[in-house]
Amino acid sequence: MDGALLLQQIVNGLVLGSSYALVALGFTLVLGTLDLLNFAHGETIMGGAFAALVSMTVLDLPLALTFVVAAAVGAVAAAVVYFISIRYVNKTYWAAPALSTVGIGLLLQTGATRIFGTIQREVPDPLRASQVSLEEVSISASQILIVAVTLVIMFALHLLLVRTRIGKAIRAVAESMTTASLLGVNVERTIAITLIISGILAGIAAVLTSFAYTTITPFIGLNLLLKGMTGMIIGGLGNVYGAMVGGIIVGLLETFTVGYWSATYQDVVVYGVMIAVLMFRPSGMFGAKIRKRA
Amino acid sequence: MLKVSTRPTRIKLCSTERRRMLRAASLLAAVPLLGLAPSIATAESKEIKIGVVLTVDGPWGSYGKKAFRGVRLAAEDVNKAGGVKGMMIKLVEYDNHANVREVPNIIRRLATVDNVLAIIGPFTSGEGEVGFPVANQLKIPIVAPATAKGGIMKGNRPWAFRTVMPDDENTAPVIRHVVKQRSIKSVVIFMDVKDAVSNYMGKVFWPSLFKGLGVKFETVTFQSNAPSVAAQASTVKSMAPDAVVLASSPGDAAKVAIELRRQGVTAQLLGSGGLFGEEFVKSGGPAVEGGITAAQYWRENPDLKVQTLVKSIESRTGEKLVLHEAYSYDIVLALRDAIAKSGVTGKAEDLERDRERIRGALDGLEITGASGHHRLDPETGEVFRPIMQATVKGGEWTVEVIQATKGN
Amino acid sequence: MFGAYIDGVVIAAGINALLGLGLYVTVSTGQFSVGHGGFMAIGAYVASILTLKFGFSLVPAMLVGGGCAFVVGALIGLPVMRFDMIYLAMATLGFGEIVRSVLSTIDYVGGVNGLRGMSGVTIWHVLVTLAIVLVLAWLHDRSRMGIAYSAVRQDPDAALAMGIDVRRVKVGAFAIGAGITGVAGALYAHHMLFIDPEAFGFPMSIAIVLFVIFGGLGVFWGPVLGAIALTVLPEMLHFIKEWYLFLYGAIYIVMMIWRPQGIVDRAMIRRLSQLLRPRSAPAAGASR
Repeated sequence: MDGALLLQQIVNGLVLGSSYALVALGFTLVLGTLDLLNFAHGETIMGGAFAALVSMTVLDLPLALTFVVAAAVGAVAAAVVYFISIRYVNKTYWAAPALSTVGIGLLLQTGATRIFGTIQREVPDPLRASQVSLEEVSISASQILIVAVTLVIMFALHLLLVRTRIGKAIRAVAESMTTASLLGVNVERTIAITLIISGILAGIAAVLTSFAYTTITPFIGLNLLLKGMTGMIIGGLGNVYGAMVGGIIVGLLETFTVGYWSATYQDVVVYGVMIAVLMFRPSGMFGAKIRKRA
Repeated sequence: MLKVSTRPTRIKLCSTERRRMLRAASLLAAVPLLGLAPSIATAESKEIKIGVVLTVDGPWGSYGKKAFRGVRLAAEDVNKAGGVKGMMIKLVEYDNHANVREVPNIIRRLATVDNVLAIIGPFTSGEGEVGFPVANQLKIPIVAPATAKGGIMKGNRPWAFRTVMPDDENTAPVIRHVVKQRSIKSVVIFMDVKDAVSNYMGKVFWPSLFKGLGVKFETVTFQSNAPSVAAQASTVKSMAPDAVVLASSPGDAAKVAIELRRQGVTAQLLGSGGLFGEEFVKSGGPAVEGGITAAQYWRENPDLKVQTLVKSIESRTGEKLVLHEAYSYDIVLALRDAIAKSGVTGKAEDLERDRERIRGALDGLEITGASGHHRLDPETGEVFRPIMQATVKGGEWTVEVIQATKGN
Repeated sequence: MFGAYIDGVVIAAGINALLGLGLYVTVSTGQFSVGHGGFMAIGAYVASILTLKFGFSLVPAMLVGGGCAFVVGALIGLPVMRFDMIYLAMATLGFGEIVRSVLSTIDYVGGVNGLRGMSGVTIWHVLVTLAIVLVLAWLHDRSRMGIAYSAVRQDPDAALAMGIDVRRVKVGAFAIGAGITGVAGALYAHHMLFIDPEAFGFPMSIAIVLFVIFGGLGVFWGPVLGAIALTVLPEMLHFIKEWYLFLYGAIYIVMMIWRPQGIVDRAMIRRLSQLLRPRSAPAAGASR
């Protein structure tokens, strides 16, 4: 087996996996605290990706500002989800919030189709020129960026959840809403903030994903959502750390299947692992952290 | 234990309640029927109704939008020039919202409710698969500006036609020429396993072509719905071929090209006719420079007829005329010609006969439109167009004719 | 019978109604599946292979297709019955995706090229099948099993305590729902004349969910109404052209805000049954 190629594929897998990890992260955060399956999460990322596109091509902003713009767009989309699916949806029916997010996703996708068209759009990679070569493995600066940013976010999120007051509030609400409110936590506000954070994560994920994908269309949301869900399941529902590891595993699985076997089986392998985890270890690798429901 | 009431409930309504329910029921029943009232052609029909089924939604939405526009402009132009035999073209348009299941319903509606003489559309191969048989069953001519998949036309004759040349027809001569010219010895076929056309090209067409030319080839696969091709690009790099064949849709091919270049793969890029179009060049940017495909359309064709049409259309849209808009425009012209020379009366009672007349006239119809000279094959319903090679030079396509239209 | 167009719409509505019923049976025990497209695919592909390659006629092929879906439904139902709502949703979603992706790798059934050449569905096939399933659903509704389903949906632990074999009910509901969905899939394949794995992915599963949600979970004919409404609606709304998808997305949102229980809910059933009752006699019969 070609050693250099193997290393290159590992790099590819880690990069892809990092973007899936961020997707899984935002998704699992919302699921853990709100019991909400946010089907619009994929489209939120798509929105952030197009925001990054506009920011770098039309507005000519530097990369750092692009992250800000994308994160802002992600947060706005999350706010929309909050208002529609959490505030106004009739919650007596447990499936209602999740289903309304399906509608939101469709609206976002159709809107993007009208505004940006359906043609593949290249997202400029400002760090493309800088490549690092070790032996025959070439890693672009943007690939390093993707993995680095993901690690930073993981660390930052960990600090947020463990060290800050809002983080503790989020964890309390995830445990039990009633107990949290009894302890003086403003549950409504915490829920809103959780969604905003997941939106910001989506926005950042969007920028990184655009680099990994090289071109984007309004239709990238569904695949991101499904792969993010898979990562979340592998790691354990509601488990933030599990989501990150799960996402990376999905990225590696996909990369290796495609690189060494055939893309024909790409989905079968990934979803097969998802089903296997659900059948034999439903709590995932690191244990699930969601409230039990009947 | 749980008890279940087994006594049937007696339903007895007094007369007012009955009347009210009847009224409500009839109103409810009438509503759907409102939309379905067949259009009644007046005895003196001065209209030629042509149906259109396309979509501005879904992954091909941008193409569909251009196709709609092409059809509308052509209808305008024909009507401005006095219509066909004094009768004006009236378009009956439907958008199937990227939903394949909608297409058969729309075709049935066009054929039996709107009573159109012919149908233009649909766009994707999947839509063609479910749409053509219905048109064939209902005996109405249907002409599609796309649907590239091989094998669709066979079971759907004699009523289905399409004006896009299947890839395996238009590509082989071009590639043979290029392989010889550039001494290409090894090739990687980069194929999309999720798309039926690419699947066929990658598994059947390209391998047999290269075997015939004595060129070594390997295959690398990807799925168009999982849009990162970094892994595959790395694999290609390790194979170091002379050329890479992009067997996928033009947008995905552009993406693959960009990733290949980013990873330092410098091989010659090749593609079939399906790759040709604005998206490959615009989305691909500098990465696709030097790429060669079979061309399906030549905007700069010096033929006077072509240039007149191209300029006239572009002056109204303000945009470059692209393939699908030109193809759709030409279908209206083809229908105009078919109607003009076949004794179509446009009268309601002649509907079936008119459709057969149009169909008969479409067989073997030859036309030079905005997309150049082409001819419909009476046996297969496919189209013959000149074989052309297209190379990306300076961010634009440069087209050269290799073979004139077959049968000329 | 009514002309090609209306026939086509009625057939489509009938197939969608069957799909709605298939999901309803499963959901009526509290198991919300987002992957019924997978069962539809199984029924569609099995039936198509039988008619295309083995010369079966439509009805036996349809039944075998439904039967296969039934078996797979039971196999899926067994492990997932201990899952709670969210896990179930993810598992069924994964199931649907696995079926779709596996089918696209199997060349015998056409892979990504799909299968073409099926035919033979008439309006009678659909209406008769629908009628049979409706009668069965009505009988089931009034039977002990129907009450057991309700009990399991409302409180599985209490149901267990009362002696109901929750396991049999849940797995049975999955299997029967899958079987009906499979039959609908077979009809779909022979009506559309062409199928490919993409037709049965997540968008199809969620469309079936919308039939049920829109129509209402209160009673078995709710999803039937929902399916019919959502089949006829696009035909009436062609004039809104390219705004259609925006409307469709908006319907999801508006329904969930305003009336998540669907058109037909318990309150509406009560009102309807009061309307149909003789004026003098007070409302009688077991209330649900």
